[in-house]
Amino acid sequence: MRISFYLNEIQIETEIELHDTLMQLLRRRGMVSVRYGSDSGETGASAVLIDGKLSSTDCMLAAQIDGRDVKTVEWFNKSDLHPIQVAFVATGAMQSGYSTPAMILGTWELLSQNLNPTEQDVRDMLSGILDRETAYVKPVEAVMRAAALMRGETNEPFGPVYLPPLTDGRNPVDISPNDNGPDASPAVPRVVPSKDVPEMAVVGKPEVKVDAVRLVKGNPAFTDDFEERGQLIAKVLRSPHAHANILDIDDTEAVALPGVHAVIHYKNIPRIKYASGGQSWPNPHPHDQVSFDNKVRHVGDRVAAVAAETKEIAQTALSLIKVKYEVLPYVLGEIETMEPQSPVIHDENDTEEIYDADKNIVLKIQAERGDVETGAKQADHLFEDTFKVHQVQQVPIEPHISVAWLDSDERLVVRTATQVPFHVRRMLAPLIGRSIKDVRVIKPRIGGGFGAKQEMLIEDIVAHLAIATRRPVKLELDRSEEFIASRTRHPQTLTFTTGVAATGKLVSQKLRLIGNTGPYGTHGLTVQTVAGLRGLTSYNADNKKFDCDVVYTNTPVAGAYRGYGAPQAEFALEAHMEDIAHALGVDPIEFKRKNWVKVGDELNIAPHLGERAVGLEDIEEYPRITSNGIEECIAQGKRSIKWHRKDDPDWIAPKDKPNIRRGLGFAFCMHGTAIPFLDMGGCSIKINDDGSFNMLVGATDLGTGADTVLGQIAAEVLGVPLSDIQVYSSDTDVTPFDTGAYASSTTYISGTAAKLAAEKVRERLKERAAKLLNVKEPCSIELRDRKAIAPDGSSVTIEDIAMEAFHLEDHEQIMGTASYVSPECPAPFAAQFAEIELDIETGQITVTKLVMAVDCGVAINPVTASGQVEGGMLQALGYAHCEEYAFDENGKMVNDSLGPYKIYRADEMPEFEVFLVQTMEDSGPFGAKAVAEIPKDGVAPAIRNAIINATGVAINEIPFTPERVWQKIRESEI
Amino acid sequence: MPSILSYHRPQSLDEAQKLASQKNTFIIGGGTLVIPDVLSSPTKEAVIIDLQAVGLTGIFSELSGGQSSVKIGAMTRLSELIGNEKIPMIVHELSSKELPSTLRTQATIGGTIADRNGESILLSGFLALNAEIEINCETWIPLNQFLQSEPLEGIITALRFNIPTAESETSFHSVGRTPMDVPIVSGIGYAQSNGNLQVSLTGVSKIPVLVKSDDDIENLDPESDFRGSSAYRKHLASVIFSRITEEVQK
Repeated sequence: MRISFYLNEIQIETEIELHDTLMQLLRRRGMVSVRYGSDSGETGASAVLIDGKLSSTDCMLAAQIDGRDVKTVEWFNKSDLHPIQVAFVATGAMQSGYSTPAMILGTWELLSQNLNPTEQDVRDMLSGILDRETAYVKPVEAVMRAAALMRGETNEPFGPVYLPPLTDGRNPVDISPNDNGPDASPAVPRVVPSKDVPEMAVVGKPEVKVDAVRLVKGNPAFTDDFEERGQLIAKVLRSPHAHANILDIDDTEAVALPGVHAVIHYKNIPRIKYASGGQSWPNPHPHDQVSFDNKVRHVGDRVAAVAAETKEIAQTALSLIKVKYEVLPYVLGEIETMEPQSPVIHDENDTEEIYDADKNIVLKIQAERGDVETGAKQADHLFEDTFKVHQVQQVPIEPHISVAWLDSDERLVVRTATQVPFHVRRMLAPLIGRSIKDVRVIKPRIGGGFGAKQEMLIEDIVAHLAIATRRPVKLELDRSEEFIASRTRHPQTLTFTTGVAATGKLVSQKLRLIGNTGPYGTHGLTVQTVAGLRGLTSYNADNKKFDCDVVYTNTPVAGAYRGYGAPQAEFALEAHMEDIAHALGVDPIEFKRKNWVKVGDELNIAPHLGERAVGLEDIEEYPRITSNGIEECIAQGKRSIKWHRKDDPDWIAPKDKPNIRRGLGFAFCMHGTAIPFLDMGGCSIKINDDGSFNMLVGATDLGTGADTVLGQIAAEVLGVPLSDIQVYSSDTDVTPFDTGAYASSTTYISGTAAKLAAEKVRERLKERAAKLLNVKEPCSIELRDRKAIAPDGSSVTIEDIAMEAFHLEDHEQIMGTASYVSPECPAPFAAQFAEIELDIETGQITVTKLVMAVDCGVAINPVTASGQVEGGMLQALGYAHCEEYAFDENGKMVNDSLGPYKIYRADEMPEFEVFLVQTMEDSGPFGAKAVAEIPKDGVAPAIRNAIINATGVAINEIPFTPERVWQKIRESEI
Repeated sequence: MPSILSYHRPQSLDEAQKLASQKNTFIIGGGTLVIPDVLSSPTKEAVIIDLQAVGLTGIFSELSGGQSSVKIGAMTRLSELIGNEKIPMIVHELSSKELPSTLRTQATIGGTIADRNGESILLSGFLALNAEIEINCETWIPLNQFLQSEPLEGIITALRFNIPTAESETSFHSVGRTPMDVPIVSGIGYAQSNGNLQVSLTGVSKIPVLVKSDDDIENLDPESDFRGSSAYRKHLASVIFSRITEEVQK
């Protein structure tokens, strides 16, 4: 069919296929800012302006556009940024930036009609563009600031508001009910500076992200934005059964279909065992997967894959593959799977190191300090509570996508949306019979990962197909596949047993945990050990024990998800501690304060849990808490949430709303920063003729702002502005090794590597400057303002030093390379507060405000750091409140699309407020600790504890969906 | 292989009706529901009839026998209802809650009616307001009758309803997982000036249903799903009905 339409004011006449969506047409014409997130318009990532109206293009035929007007963000791309783009850049309104073009277009439509929009207008405009990263906080600010610019006004520079501390850093204070705190936009990070932190030029400043311009222009950045010539499309045939043996596969008709180039399955792909979790070598056992098996273990498991000329041919080919199944019984629950009548999920004979395959127990993890049984006997009070946490998905708006091809040297190249490019290279090579040196993995921009992409998930499929066809092959999961065939958070059943002395001090604490890893182990060991670590290190007790079974079931596979075991454990822990306090009749914060770890306290079970766990006899000195800003966090949070209202009966039960109860809740949060002795990052920095620098890092920026933060660290050391640092990340052929973006490690580990590399460069610059300035002691020279400055004030520019080194004398490439692995794991702390309204007749909870005050050491960039907290709280809110996997009677997920699987959108968000409380963590680069994962930890328990404040009802299972809450209220007869 | 056999953009209703007499036809307004469904079923063969050039747009006030009403063309987008001064506030509210910004610019009134979705609050609102729908620009039938009967031959061309008078009351209550979630159960109440109240409920049947008394609710038999069991949905229907009753009586 031939159509004619206007694209960015240019008339286009083109042939289309009848089944082409408008999104496909626009991308084919180079409009790569139009991005795939779903096939039914749910995510809004593909939205453009059609006749001036923001519209999703993935649920629309290209034919429908004949005669109409289409504008994409490329329309804005002149030499200068449009004021809307300026505002998005200035406010840090994009993290990965995947959906930013749609937001910019929506802003244009809104402001074309109304230059004075209300916040509600803005949120309504954003309602169709789902964002898992920013919590919409900074995009709303960006739109308001864009409106101001377009009204001809001038905005104040966007940056943090600095608040005086409310405490001395150690002791609690009373907060006056009349103290309202700062009057600033919610998007503005509230920074509470520490006197221990020196003033710096670049670090601690709200620098604009280094990739901001690329993202607001919608320039090619993501995996699908680059297309190889002759690229084939892959699709995967997935199991309709939760558990079945594959008796036979007949691919004859599929292979014969014109346009099909390869069909792969268990009969033609070597059976090589592996574990798909993106983790350091050696990957934890069991290695219980193969690329294609003769057994399927969950609905959505791989059966076969096809590479064909088009998506439609590939889909048709899948329907022509005849599979003979022997359907087996299945099991979904982590308790039921261990019962004798349950089916054995791994009955193959070539998987080693399954703890007890007959009982579906993958692993048994145990650790103990002291003697919990004796401790419990000595305690004056003993409490035990059981909690259930459920399965949720990371929902990156960019699904998993990989492209593989053979380059001119016949090496296999994989461009892939991964958090762990170096792990993928190492894990992929043996599966395709190649050495690591014959594989190159390139990580372009990623449209969100959150752990889902800490996995070698689909790279082996495109690699096999590229080798089989000798053509580039692309595989992109659709939204349903992202739910059923990607990775999820582990469901768990957790039982805390805690002994408390009459003094209120904990004597013993035991955590019994059953973790559901689904049908494959992947991150089963490490997520559960982190759950044990996080569950048992927040509070002091001499006697601690972790007892864990990791089990197989036939649910979709669990894996890494931001927080990595901590959200599960801290929900249970903070709920349990709250209940103990209520049972003892003491204030929960006071009770927790009496027991939480403080500076100098020993983390007495930490070294015995994790990938590098050591035995009791192997450790001489236990790690200790080195910095802790929790008291200031609590003070700031209490003031913001107006904590005094929790004791006001008129506020809790408003007289004009008899069915409404209000409540406030608190959770103490503690996380880790990287995995000690394991996470490693590398960095290489070289100078250019003009005194700028190229910085190569293996670290993977998922949208977190890692590239920016690492650049700031280097710029601070080198005495230059951030704009003088060009950052390149994650290409296994080019950049240094890095374990990847996980475990809250990038700023701390890769940041230290960047600092060390920059320091090496700085030393060479000083040595050369000393010669040029006739200074005897190079160490007396300072680098500042792009100059090397001698003690007497004389100076030489860094550009002059570079020119001299390249072209005049003692020729050399000034460069520095460094890597870093930490022996420590400094803990960030946070106070999480929640405010809710609960309808006692229906069980409906409305979360009205979330406040998180975080001690992440020194936030290298307070705007990106606060953005991390906002986005983390959004995901944690979904975990607590509305997101869940639901299955039918055949074990098939029934809500595998956005909508039925509910994630929060812009027009229904509670108020957010974020505080960054500085502490000086001496082991971190310029005092930094982690910030990315701790926002996931406290929302669920804070909401749960707010429900208690509102109703007195304790609910030990999430999410707090209306019927569950209603049932609990009915049972309690309030 | 490609599941779309042909795409047609008729220029008149007559032409559209003739095309619609073919087999496997799918009539689209914006296509937000039909197109994803067709494209996800490669074995489904579809003839697409796109009504965008037929007209059928516009929002018109009408006055008959002292009663003001509004007529909305079937191809009117949901986004056009929001902020239109001829449209009552309750419909503004329901239109903005029905779909997010990127879909309501495409989705049409006709498509919303044709989909007969038992969870559509906008459809439910029209039902509460005793709306009528027009078929083929010829025949008007009550929306309630349309929903209760088997799908009719013909093309939905318009919808109309009487504007609630100053003496009447409307009320919307819902329960969902989040404030803008598709409600588990919702109710739109319409009390006319004579005091007669009817409530249109979503989430209790495959189509929105009208109830006028507690007995009507007692006779409901909602299906369970993961968001709400049958008993819970029935409970919500009862709570919402009593809240609406209380609110409009005030």
